[in-house]
Amino acid sequence: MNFSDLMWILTLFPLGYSLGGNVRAGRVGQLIAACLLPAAALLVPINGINIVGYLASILYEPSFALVLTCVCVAFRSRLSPLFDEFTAALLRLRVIIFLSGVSLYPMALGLGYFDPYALFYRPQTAFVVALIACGMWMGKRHLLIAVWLTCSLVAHRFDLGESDNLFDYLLDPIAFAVASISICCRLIRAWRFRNAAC
Amino acid sequence: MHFSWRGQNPDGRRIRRYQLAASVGFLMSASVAISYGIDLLSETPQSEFVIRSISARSVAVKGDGTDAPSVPLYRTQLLDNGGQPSVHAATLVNLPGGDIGAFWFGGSREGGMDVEIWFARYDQQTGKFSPARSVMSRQLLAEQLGRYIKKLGNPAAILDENGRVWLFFVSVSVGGWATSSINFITSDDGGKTWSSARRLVTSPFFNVSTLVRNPPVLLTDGGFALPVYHELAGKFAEILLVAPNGEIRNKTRVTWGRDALQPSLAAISESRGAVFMRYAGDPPMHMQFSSTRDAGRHFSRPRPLELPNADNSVAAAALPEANGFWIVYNSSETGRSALSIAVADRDVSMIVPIHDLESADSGEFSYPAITTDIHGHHHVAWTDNRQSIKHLVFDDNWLTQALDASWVILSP
Repeated sequence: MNFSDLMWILTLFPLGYSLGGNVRAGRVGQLIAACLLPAAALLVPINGINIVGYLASILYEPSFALVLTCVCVAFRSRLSPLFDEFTAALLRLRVIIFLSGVSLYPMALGLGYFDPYALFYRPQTAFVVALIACGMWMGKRHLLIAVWLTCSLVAHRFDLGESDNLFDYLLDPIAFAVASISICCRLIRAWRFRNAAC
Repeated sequence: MHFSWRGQNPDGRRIRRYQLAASVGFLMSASVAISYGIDLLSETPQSEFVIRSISARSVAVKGDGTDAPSVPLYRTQLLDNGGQPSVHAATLVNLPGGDIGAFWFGGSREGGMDVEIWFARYDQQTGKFSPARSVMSRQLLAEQLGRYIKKLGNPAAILDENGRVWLFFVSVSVGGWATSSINFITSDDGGKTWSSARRLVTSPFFNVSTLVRNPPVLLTDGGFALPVYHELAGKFAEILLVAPNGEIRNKTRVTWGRDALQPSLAAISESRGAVFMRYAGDPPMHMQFSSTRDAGRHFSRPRPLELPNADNSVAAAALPEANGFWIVYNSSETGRSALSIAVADRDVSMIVPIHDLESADSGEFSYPAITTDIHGHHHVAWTDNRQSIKHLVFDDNWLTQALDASWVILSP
């Protein structure tokens, strides 16, 4: 099993857990669903390639942003005691993912001469991100962001993934899409609530 | 600031556990920061282009000690196409020992699922190419990467300082060419056997739309500058700086927008290089050009050249001993029925067509590839009506004659 497989398992396990919860399968049923989904994705071959292989054909490996988002959403009740305000911590992570994606993806896809993605190949950028991670650990309200940055940095430092770019460990388009949808839904809910209050 | 566990009642033991976890996290981050800091302190200066001065003219002069002009060499041949109905996008590489390798993709049609990357070796002794053999197929790549692969595309190859041949090629998992990614394989025995494939991650957006067409330029640290292009949202050229172990070190954008692609990078000195590009924008259709003076760290604003380019691939290489470049390009303003050679001076302020390789009313002669071997002979390969790959070899005597006939003087 390589790093890509591991990241897909870490993404699919909470997804299976959430799906098990949706069908009201009980705690044991949830855990079975959580185990079955990654196991099937890893072990069931279609034309000689497992489902993880097909997923990796589209997205080489999920970023830590996606893994953490899935874990946080699936295990919300179990994780919430770790944080003073779990919802606020998750929202902060999503806002950072959204803002990073909005500012970086268009430029990385060719909008203008400057390519921010290229910066993340350089050790200078990784050094700065590591310093930010240190700061996040010291400022105790940002545990989730600190975990996100640290996991990404460690994986990049040890060349665990397919990419040589730190950006790919931090963020991927699916995590960006999830964060964008979540923030939009939250804004719509807030807008409706304000209108209803009026 | 305090942390609560299980509601509002702080539990000292659990808080201590949290503090311990936070300390471990901090130490990990700090360790990573220190290791990157050490990297920064021990960072070597950025490498420069390797200039292989073939010095063909000096070889010719030194050859037999006489000034008697030898017979100019100019010879063409069609390569065995491996029995494939459609072949395209050849690339040439110097092999260890002095032979030339040619790679191209061939199958039932461009983009077909049966397309494979083919290889043939040009024997310097006999002047003939070996029969073509497949070095990579869609199925083999899927097996090696553990990923679904829909089709294969453009190859580009280079011989590194250790005698290892690197073959970069395009693959597509979903969609068309605009969603391609780049893979590479290496050979330590001149193309007889190949390593497992590895995929390069070059784009943050599903790693799509980075393609290769022309070969890289060697760098002094053993890595290379690989010219690539993007054609999903826009069409623009980039240079990937690849380390000797195949890791990407940096990426530099040559152009942006929707106009230029398939860059051909040619280095004329350790720090100076030129990029000639296919133009895919609105008329007037002219070849695009950019240059670097710091070995690919920065590029000048792209500008159109006088040479026409109706959305066709170009190939360029340096003529270090003549202090200029030679370029093979489609000289027709409307299609791919004419293929020509041009030479340019060091600054590409003067660019002159010197010879027509193909000149027909119809047909396709496209996707040229060029290289110069260790004997100073210049090789060109191109697609001949999609049915075969055509090869031309000429020497400096022929080039000198062609330059003289065109009244071109390139000062060394």
